Amino acid sequence: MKLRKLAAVTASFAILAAGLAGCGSTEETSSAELDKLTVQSLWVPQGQFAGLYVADAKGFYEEEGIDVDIVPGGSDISSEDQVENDVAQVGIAFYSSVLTYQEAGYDFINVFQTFKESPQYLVTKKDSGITSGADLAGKKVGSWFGGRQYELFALAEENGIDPENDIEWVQQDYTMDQFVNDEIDAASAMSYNELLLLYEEEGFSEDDINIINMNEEGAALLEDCLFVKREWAEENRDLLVRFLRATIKGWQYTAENPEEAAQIVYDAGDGSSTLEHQLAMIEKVIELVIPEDSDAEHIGSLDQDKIQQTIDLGYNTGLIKDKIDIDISIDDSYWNEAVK
Amino acid sequence: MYDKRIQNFVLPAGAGIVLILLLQLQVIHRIFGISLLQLPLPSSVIAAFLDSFGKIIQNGWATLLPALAGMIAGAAAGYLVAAFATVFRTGGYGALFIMTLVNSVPIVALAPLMNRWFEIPFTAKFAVIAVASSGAMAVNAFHGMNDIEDNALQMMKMTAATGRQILFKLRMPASLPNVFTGFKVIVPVGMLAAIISEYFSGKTEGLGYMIKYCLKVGNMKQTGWAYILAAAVLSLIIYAAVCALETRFTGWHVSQRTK
Repeated sequence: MKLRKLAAVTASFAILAAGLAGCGSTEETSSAELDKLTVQSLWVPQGQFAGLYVADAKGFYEEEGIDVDIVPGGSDISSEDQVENDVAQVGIAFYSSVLTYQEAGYDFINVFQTFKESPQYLVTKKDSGITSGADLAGKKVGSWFGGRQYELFALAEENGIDPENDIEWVQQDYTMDQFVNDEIDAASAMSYNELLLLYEEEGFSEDDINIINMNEEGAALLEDCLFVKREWAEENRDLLVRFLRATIKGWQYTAENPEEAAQIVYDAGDGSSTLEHQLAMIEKVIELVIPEDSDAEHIGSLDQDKIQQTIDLGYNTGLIKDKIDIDISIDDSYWNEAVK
Repeated sequence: MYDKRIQNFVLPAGAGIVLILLLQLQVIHRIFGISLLQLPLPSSVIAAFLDSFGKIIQNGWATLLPALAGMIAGAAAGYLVAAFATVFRTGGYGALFIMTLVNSVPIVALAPLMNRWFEIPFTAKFAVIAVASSGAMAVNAFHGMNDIEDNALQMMKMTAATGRQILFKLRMPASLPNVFTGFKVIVPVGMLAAIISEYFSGKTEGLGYMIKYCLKVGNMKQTGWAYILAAAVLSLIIYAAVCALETRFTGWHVSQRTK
């Protein structure tokens, strides 16, 4: 699996290099007037980041006078370090992860909360009898770790289970093999990815599994957001506002035209996934970007309550040692200006 | 009189202290424009080390056991192949060749593979380390068993020693210095293999896993460095143990004489 990922990263670098070479020769004249902006993504191109790829492909960024370069991520690339080191100006990362960097002294601000709900589910087999967080005591639970375990810790604590001692944690890889082979009782699964893999590739149906939803269990930590350095944002206020405006447009277009968006993302990728998977992913991702209690006008808005919940849960589970002040952690003035 | 201890101990230790001071006083940070977030001060790394000492011991143990077992098993296998290659030239040399060939497979490629083959993390780590260790020992031991003084070999033959006697009484004892050289190569390679294996492991323990995990989380980077420090210290301790054994058992060899 790691090999496949390595191959994917290598391939995406190759594509990136080819893309850069292409830009250099043909678009030199036009891009001279555009502001350059690099976005560090979390992963290879996929539906999870559709709004940005659509905004790029449909020319929304160019309309705002920006030449955006979306750099693919990987398991050993930290968006936060890339932004801190000025490799990229805008980073995509889990808000829960950004919090740990803020606590360490990185002067970041969350300016755009892409996912308003947590996509992280725990799935169990129907016959396991595990249907809620309360049933997890003494079970083998899979997590990707690297910061993604805190939501599960929160789930355990909400149910009065000691996450350190009452649960046996297993490092999960990016397949669902451990779950399929009964090596773990409960597996982490993103609603937009691993859960779909279970249905698409492993032959599971919704009747075969139980889903424990972090949002319903009150254990949701906010994930995908856009963050920048505070100092950079203050100096480039106008650029950031224009970037956010075009990004919102990109997500709106994605919600209205999921098929076209899937094609755009698929073309940007390395072919390691299918068009159908991208479409299915986009449909799930849209549920997170525009949940039922929100609308397309509020894409990326920073919901104070949910952000405060993430800070509180992060503090309770030991993700962060101090409660970070919400007004230092986020800055919604850029978003407000973008939608004006 | 020129004291060898100055060369062997005082100079390297002095250089280390100067380097640590340059880091602590942020001289290196300033020269290369590195922020404290990227490279924490030695003092804060040591503070983190002491802070999570219990967990470091626990994870260090999880790395040390398979590392030692793997190194010893790999070394034993390598030594056997070397002896085999010495006795049965044609077939044995082929085995030696294959062993070095397998040995040249990068650990990064081997580790995830072994994690797939062996479900128990200990076995997976053990296998990677053993494979990574075997080649160095095979090559060194083979060299030691065959690079013997011609006079000694002639002497053995003249007194009608059997092949078996030549192997056990001449070749094997003569190869001891090379065996220790082999071990000195194996220690850093074996520790490296252990840590890389843990990077890909399914188990959430071991120094390698903790380094990977801590360096990924913003407010745990010092702890990540503390685990790196622990891995280095562990390697040094094993290396020192090998050196001590070397002095003890190969005192007769030219490389160990004080003058």
